[in-house]
Amino acid sequence: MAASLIELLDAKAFADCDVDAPNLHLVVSVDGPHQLRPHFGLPKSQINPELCRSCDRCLPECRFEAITVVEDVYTIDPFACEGCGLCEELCPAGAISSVPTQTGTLALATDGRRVFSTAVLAMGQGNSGQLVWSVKKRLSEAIAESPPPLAIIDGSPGIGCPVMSSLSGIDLLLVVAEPSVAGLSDLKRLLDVAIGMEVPVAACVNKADVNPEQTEAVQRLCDSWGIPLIAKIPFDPAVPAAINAGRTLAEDPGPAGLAIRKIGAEIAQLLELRPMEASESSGQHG
Amino acid sequence: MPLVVLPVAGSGSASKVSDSFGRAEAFLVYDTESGERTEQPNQGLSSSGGAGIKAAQQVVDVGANVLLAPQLGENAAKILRAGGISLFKSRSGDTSDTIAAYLAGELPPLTQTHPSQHGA
Amino acid sequence: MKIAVLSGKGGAGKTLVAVNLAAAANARYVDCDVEEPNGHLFLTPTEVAAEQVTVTVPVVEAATCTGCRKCVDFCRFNALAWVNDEVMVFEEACKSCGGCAVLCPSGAISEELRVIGHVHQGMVNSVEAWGGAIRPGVVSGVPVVQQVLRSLPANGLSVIDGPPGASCLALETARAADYCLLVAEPTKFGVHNVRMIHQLTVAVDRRCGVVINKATDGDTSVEELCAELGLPVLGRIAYDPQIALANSQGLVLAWQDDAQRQVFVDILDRLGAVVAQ
Repeated sequence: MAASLIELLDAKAFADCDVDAPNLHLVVSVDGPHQLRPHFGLPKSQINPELCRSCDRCLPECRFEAITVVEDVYTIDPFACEGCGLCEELCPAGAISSVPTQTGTLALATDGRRVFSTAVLAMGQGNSGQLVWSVKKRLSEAIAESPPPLAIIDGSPGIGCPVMSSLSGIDLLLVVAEPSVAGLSDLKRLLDVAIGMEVPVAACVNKADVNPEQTEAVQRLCDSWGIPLIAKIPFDPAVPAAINAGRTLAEDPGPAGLAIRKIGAEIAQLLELRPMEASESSGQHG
Repeated sequence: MPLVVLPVAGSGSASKVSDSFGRAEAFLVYDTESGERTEQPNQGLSSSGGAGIKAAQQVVDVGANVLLAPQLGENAAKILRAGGISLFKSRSGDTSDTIAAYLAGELPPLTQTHPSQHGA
Repeated sequence: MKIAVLSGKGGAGKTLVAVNLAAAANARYVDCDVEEPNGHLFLTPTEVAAEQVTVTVPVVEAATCTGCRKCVDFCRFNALAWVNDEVMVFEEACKSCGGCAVLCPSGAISEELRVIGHVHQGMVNSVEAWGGAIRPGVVSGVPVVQQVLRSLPANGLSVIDGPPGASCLALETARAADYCLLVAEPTKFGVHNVRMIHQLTVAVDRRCGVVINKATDGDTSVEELCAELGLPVLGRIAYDPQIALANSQGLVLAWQDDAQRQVFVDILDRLGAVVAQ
């Protein structure tokens, strides 16, 4: 969805904030060098074996069971360590220090015409909210000189901190709902968060004809919140086919392409697109 | 000597009011009596979580009387209010414009806060 | 035996596969997607036993506190602030390391329990449905998932519906399991996601197999990747509007008719054979 809208609305700036599983780069590309930058989270503790006197002051106090001792040699498991720094405070020998941990990698690409900011979380790392924030910051820095009229952000799923980071500072949230009991329950949770953050919302339903009854339920939910449901996208085999070909649906003649063009037009109208900074986020859901 | 604080992005004369409080690059401290402007880096910026809390602590420790910000998380607002700091909703863009608007009594009080983002 | 069902993204069919495998095998279904738990929409137990999930948070005794700010300076999670001659505690930011209480020179800090969610279980037909939920307003589901995984009995078969993505929660779920089942759609996205999750299972040294969901004839992208990575394809669930409809209504396919149940029984058989190797 985000990729199609980038083409349709000719967005000059876009970002993939689904840092857990980024995939916008598979369907939209910006020719140009990727500037990579490591992203560091909270430093984690490390024991210098040369200085450690094996006094066992640290081990019993670690709540994360990150410290192990084998034959009097103390070590810290970096996956288990939360980086609280207590062991460091307690160590009488000064043997424990904090080392930076890379929790992800940011990438920024620009071809002089378009800017694309994305990132991937290092395996098994938390803290993705902060990484999402950095993805958006890099995008806004890159376009600070001459802000384009529209920036599109492919949002993070769920309702946790990455979503909140995706939503902060945006002008419109486009929610993509699935017509199923699960999709409806996800939608309710997301709307709760978005309304709490005072983000203007528009919605669409994907694969609407798979379950007309649930699509109707999505419609009722949107009506009760006063949220415009701007399109019902039918199931269309052209969608997976386009993804596999690395294409968007912006120009697809099929029913899904038609619905997506309608969404593009509605969004342009909602944002009253004109040469000023505006942004929009697509919350991919379910 | 009332001190007015603003979260800023960028530094020096190019600085603008930051959209984010906890993740602002720096704080601009404006002394309304002397007209003096100083800047200090935001200690919350490098925090991986609770950036707004750290930043609010810094603003309290500076001895600020007034904070001008476009939005605030509820945790930061709680600290600032407990510190007796008056909160006003800033304009975006130029810092001098927002300060002038505050001095002219044109800024509305900041009453709405957003849920704290926990890590963002 | 514990099987973790994982997928890089939401919507791949993780819950569909996990729910139906558990239903087909009369096994234990465990919903670890605590942020967006949807398993209960398919498996709705009537009588539910719930256990609270708690974390420790500091409490500062104002009368004893000398205002040295040692705790505030120590806390790297910024869960403490010193304002108006008082320590303010932000429970949501606290990671329960206990450091502030250990380090306080005047002994003014103690800890109390804070309820952040619960782990629940109940029977639906012959399926033992487990899940965790976080309280509204609580942001991190990590302790809830940890408690769900810790509480799981070792006996019988547990099918764990994992959290999406390749974050720390997915890693913990994979680590707690004996075998990982990756669910993928045959699209470029699906292939990309399998590659990512596969790396995660390698990192925690778990074997894995793949189930292709919404399989269409002629698309062999996921099979090719599996061949490349040396992963067995344990099943294919064909794209079928009837399946999509039933699933969207919250129906358990394996309970609809024998043919649908057989699809999941076959996956279990192949999985059993692979694990026994």
